[in-house]
Amino acid sequence: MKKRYTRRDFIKVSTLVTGGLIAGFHLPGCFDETKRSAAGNTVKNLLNEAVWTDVNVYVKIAQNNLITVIAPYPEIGQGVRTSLPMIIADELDADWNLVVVEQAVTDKEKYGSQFVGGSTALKRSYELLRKTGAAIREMLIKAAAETWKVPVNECKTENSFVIHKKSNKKLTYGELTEKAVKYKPSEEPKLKNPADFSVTGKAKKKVDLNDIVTGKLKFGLDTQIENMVCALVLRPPIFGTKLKTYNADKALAVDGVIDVFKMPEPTNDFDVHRGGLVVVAENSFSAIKGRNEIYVEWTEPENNIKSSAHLTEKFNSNLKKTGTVIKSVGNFKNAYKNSDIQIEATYELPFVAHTNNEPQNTTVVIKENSCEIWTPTQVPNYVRKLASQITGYDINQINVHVTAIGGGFGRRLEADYAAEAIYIAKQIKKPVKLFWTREDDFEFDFFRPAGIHKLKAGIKNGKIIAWDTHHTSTSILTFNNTNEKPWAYEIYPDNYPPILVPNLNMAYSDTDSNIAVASLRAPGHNSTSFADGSFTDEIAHKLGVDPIRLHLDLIGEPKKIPYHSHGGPELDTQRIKDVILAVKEKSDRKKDLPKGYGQGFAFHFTFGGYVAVLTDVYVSEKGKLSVKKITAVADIGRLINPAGAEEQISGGIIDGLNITLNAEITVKDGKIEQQNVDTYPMLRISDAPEIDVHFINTDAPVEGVGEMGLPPVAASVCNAVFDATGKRIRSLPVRKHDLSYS
Amino acid sequence: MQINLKINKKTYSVEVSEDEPLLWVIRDKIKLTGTKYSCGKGLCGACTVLIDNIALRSCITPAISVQNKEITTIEGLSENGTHPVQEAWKEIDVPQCGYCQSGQIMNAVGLLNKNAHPSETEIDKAMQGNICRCGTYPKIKAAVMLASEKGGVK
Repeated sequence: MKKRYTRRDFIKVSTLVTGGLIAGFHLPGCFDETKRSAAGNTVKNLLNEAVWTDVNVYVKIAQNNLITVIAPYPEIGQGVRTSLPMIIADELDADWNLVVVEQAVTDKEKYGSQFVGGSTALKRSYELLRKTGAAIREMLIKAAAETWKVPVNECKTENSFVIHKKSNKKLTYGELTEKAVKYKPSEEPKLKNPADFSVTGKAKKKVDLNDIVTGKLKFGLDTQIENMVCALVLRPPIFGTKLKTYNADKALAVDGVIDVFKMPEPTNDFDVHRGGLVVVAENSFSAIKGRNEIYVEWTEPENNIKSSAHLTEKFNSNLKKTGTVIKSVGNFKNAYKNSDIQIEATYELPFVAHTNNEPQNTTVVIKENSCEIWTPTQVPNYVRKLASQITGYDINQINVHVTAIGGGFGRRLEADYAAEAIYIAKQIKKPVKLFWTREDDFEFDFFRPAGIHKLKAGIKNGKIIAWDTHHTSTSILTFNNTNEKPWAYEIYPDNYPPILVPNLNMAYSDTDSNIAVASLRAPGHNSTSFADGSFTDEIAHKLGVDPIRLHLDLIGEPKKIPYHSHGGPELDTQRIKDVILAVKEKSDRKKDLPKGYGQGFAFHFTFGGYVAVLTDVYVSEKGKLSVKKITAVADIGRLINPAGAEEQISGGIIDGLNITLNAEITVKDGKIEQQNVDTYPMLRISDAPEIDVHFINTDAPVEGVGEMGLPPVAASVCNAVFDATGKRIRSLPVRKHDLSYS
Repeated sequence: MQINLKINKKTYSVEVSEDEPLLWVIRDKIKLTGTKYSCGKGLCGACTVLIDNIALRSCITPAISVQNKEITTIEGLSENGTHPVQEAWKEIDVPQCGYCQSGQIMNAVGLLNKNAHPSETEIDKAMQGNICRCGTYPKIKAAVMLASEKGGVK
């Protein structure tokens, strides 16, 4: 397939930016109006009278002891606007009730890369944020010691106060800040002993909670700018097509429609939008009505995927080849030939949509000397750079305001919608809000790749001695023209369980496709986990052993194995064993279940997190499946906000359940078939099972949490369905299968 | 055409077209953005408002059909989040991204207006039309039950 566009490198390590007086930044703060100081003053009142001193780019302190902590990264529902400020507040020994949180400006120089994805935000910022808080705490102590003319080691801090231990004299941080900022912050401040953590490790409610339940929180789509117009784009229906001809007379006659014009073709290296036509209108509804009235013809695409069946044919033809070997250990062929039992199965996964509840949108104002952008994005620095490239403005003239975001799930790692808005603003020279309809969001999503895993295993003396995986999919990296390792986002060579099999072969075949693909929550893992977790269960049943027993046998003596991709550098099988044993203990595991009831187990390691789940299902004779309960045990190391961690694992499980039971994007006549949630069923409240989440090993180093809950769900549900009905599900979604039995 | 809409006890005079959904009038013309657009077809519940205390999808309700009726949006529920359902939502700490929650709350208020003490099955049935993409369903259910226990909506 032809070139789509080039991809940026958005993953950069955060840089330390502690210290120094930085000019004021006063973005709207979010706070819980109901929070009160010890004296009973509401945060709202305190904010009104606050006079701020900037300490560094992360913290400012007011004379009345309110503390503002900057949330450096976008909040997509994963909780970082709460958890990251908690880390600073803890080392600062701040009174969490008097902390208000502000969203950072988009500036790589100040905050390092601000992207959120791959469950990396916590892990990559943890040390830096701790040091930031600790360094400021030391500066405040110095200021107090100097005031009292006492040694610093006679002073301690507590709840935003510095206290002189001997005399019990107290000064608030607010009283000390002006003096404190004169000291140079230490690059290596003394960090707290984890046993002394006062804010992290304790469940905290979301900082935006009050604004959410009152409807005050401003998402991207809620942006209102004076004299703003609204825009929609009519895009080429699929990659590989272009505008042939159009007539906008009827559209222009619609009340409120201002203009219809051609979107610039994506011809620059940095372009990520798709071309098409732009409708500009006075308001959203006029734009929708206007766009419906445009007559348009598109060119025919070449070598496109005609239908889902056509794609499956391509997958199957690729699976007949050997594929590119990406891992080879021992001698699979010989071991397989010499095994007592040989097992083979294929597992098929469809394209899946991100379905962010808030459709894509971006508001842009291009002024004489600056460009202001409000956008719900996971990659603010990238949007800033893109805006600089499109407008020709210097990067310092571009201000990207990260709004509240109605779900990320990986979709907002793409900046196609921001690019459209910037091009439109450049053309019309007016403030513009570009928005997508739900239908746009489906049709022009970048889907989770579709693919098939073909697995083989050889068993000798009850042990798995040979494993072969041949995976084919519509590669994300190929779609983005980064062809070196097309498998890198699709399959992980060091994944458990294959990595423990002595004779291992893994191969990948890239299946050419013009359907847009990109990362979706737990990329690659959301596919391999279904294949590996189901296949392991099939092996156990073939051998007549308990699936958990099979895992424990395979692990044997625990060890640490090098793990070369994201989530490494090692995979610790002791931690696998521990979560497996814990889930066995925590769940109500039964040997003889009544007819129609089943239990299914699965484990998956994703991005540094270890999660084992046990799922309870009931299937009626007519084939109606109810997922009753999912018990999960997660080892993601230290928990910053336990309440947030619990809801991320729980939410990941529900997302995983939706992918398992419902989600499927299909292609018909060369186009995406689903347009809205009537044809793309989504999990509803009555489908949500009881979810029971446990954490272990919470003294281990911090990992992320957003993605780990999702991967093990599909296999555990399908394994439970097999337990209940004897029917093995080898393709998703489950709703397409007849589960009836008698 | 020019119509009068009574929203959160205030009367607004707005110019609308005959087929214009209430959602876009509320969001674009009255500038109350707490009511969200998501599916535009009455399939997801993000746009739920109360019309004479009954929960309705504003994205498929023509604005001209609700003249002379009491329209309540999330902003009209209470000044500072003190409505019992909002309080329950805060106590349970329901939201993740928060986008669907205005609709969830308004729908829950609609349910409790009709049935002050719904059973779990009745909650499922009433809240079935509201999608939460982040998967906060268990907490939504707990919050509706809490609001009901604490005396419903009055």
